[in-house]
Amino acid sequence: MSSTDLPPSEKLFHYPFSASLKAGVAQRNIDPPIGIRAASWGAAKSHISTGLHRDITTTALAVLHGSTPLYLVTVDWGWWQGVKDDLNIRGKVIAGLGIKEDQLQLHLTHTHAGPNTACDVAHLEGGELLAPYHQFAVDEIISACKEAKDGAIAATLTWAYGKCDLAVNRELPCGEVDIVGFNPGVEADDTLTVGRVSDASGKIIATIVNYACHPTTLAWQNTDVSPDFIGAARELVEQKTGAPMLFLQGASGDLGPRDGLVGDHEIADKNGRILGFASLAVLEKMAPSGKAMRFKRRVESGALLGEWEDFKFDSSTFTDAIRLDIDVPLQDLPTFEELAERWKDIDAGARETRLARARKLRTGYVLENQRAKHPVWIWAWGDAIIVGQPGEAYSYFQMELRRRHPDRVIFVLNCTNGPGYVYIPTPDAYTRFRYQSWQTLLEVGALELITDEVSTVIARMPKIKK
Amino acid sequence: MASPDSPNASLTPGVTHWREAMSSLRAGVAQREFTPKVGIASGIWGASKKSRSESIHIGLFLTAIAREGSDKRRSFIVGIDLCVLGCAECADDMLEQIAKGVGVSRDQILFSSSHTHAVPMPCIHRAKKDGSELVPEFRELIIKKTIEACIDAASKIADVDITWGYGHCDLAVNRDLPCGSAEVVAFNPDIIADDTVTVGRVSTRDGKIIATIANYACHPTTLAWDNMAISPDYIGMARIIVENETKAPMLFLQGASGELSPRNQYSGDTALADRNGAMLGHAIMSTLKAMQSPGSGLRWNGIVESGALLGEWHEEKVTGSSEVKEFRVDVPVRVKEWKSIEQLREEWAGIDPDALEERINRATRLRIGYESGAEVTHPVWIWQWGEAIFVAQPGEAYSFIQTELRKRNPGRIIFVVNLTNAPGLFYLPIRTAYNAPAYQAWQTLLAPGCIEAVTDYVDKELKKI
Repeated sequence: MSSTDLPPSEKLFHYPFSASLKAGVAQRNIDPPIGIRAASWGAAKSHISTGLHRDITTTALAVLHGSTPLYLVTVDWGWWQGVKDDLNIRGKVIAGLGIKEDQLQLHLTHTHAGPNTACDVAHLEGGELLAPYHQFAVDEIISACKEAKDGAIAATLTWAYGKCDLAVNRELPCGEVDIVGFNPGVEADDTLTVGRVSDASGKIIATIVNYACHPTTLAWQNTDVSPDFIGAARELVEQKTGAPMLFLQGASGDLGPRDGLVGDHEIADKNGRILGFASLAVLEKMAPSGKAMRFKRRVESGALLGEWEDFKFDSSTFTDAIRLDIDVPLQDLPTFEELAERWKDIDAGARETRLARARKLRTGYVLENQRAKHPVWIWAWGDAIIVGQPGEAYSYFQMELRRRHPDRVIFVLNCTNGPGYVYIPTPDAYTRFRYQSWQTLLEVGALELITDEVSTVIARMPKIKK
Repeated sequence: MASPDSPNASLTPGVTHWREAMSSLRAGVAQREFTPKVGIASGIWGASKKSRSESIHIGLFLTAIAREGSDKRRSFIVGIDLCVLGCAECADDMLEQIAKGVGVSRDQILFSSSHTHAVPMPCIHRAKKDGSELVPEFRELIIKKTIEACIDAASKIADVDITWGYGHCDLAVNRDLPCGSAEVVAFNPDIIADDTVTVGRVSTRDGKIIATIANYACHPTTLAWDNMAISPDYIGMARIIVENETKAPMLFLQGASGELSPRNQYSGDTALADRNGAMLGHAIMSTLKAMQSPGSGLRWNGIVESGALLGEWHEEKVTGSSEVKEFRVDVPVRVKEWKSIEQLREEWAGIDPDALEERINRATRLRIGYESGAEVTHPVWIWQWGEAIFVAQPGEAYSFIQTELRKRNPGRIIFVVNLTNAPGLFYLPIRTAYNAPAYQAWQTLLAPGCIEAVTDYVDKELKKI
């Protein structure tokens, strides 16, 4: 075989998605006291915690964007009910760190077995424990962020997609309407996005796992505080890697675990292991830190073989941090009296829960003329894009961004910063009168609009040269 | 559940029961180690400069699952850490002795090699090499331990529930790399590989896992000419991970991996084989964890009024299918017009002498029982075990056969197994591989169109089940 028979030059190299940045990580346990208010379920008969299934944690990753630190922080909590609750924590963290708002993406993993995040329920059972607990959490988040920033070192971040079968579609047609329950008839997005942060010696210092699935294994029957499936997934990955894992909830508006809505911790752990093992498989797939592959030579053996070899390469150092405030249309919102009338026949406790949620949701988000500004934070770290926004977007959001930008690894985060703590559903959710469409304030088309705006920003980013 | 007074209490989905593919059978499992003595000639690499093994990476195992029908007829699936069974003559003799020792006909055993390339070849007709003197003893060990495991598995036969599922694993990549006027066997980043992993979980009626069955298509070629350790390749670590987690033997069945291999391969580093194995082991574990409890499906339990309108599913005991059908089909295929051994020797004259001898020996032994241009048949065993179907054949089929059979039969769990029984120990490449030409196309004895013919034939049989 002559030298002209060598593979074409563009096929000689295979590069992983990666980044070369200054990064640091820190993790803290922020377990709440037993007896704290933990009211995530209208159907629950008790709204205070009686125990702890697994540790509640916060993990901070600090990455330098030029000389400016960016903080990606994840907390094993559920969601914000309103901007006051959000700022009660996020605002204090921003102030405590002395940073600008856009330097922080504070993400909630969306466990439905977490302590309450509300700051206006001190008068309710277990509510008196919230203020001191929230202050403790703020202090720990700030401390973790500082440690992550102060410990930032030259790091290589490697990115990859994998698959995980934990999530199923949770929009179950029941006659004229859809309810929130496992729907065996629709396939769920199974994309698992993983990042590995390594130091110069190749030692793993952190992993990042982004997966879209409602942490609703544990429900109204459970009275223990729990990170839900994230707990066992994290345990498995951290045991194997010896480094903290940041879990980031994906665009899971329509996705949940098949086995869920139970009180049994074992099921939460089983669900976590589906994700944990899948994450480990992706980590094993990754090339050694800072290494790419190139075709080395042909080898005459029983067959004509071709050898590839690893080689060191310089990962992209590109970073960017953009905030969008996307002008989105709102529904013709009913008055609270109209809502009370709509829900008059359901259980009184469940009705009050819904009404309280509706009030808080609008504050600080709803503008005049049936519009709102929906904030989105888009950070670029080498080949990876981290897209965080406060709503509960449907998986369309992540699938579409990834489909449109196959040359990047895209992390898509729900429940990040605020305001805009609303579902962002697909059009059919409205026609099927799904929970998500009457929880949200957004009009049909908001999801597609947000997707297009974010996609446009990603498309404008410079191509990463290899 | 919602109060009966709730206006939503009567809401019900169209489908109120769901379960995975399941089987209810009578089966038993046994495993044996058959690691040979260090020093035996090991590996099958023409590029290797040495033949005598120097160490053991991970021990070699065979795992047997025995099934018994209501008529007391027994059948066996054996997964073994071997590359291939050797030449047609050696394979035939070994399978004959095993069947006789177990006391069943040849068609009642699927004897399937995992295809690790870091083991001794149990063939006494290969060119004599350093360490070849230990091969006859190794063959005897394989036969003895296989019979022992089958008998042991049969003695443990009990009522079992098997849950079947598909998962994903990214270990395999395409390995047909265009290289000018031909193809080399090397990672091709431009073609996406089939990532399906097919898993069965065998449990006793009280829910204890007694075995897992994993079927994945990827050449175990992590370890190559620089490796002198005896090893199951990536299957070793995958098995360790799964067995540690489940506390039960794992039976590995090599899928249709004719053109699939690990991305990182051809190494002398056993740690790399372990890394590749961990990828598969973790993927299998993720799939196992995604299964419902043994012998269980889901039943709609009703509406719950909460912040949202929720729908509850509860586990319920269900019984999988006990339907069993095991048969062999002999698919008509054509042997290609091949070049004589002398012509091949001339064609390969310029290459390394050791590699040349390896190729000539393989080609010569492969042709036993076949004639250039002849009409022959290729055997395929189709076994339905409840709601899973095993499609096993002796060749190294391209992944086309598994992706196509699964695509054409989406409601079924199909295990597609290469390197099972004999004769027909050659590649079944897709048509384009003959045009390339790829190694697999000149190794095989069959003419273009063979894999398409086998796939169509098997598909028709599956439709009848």
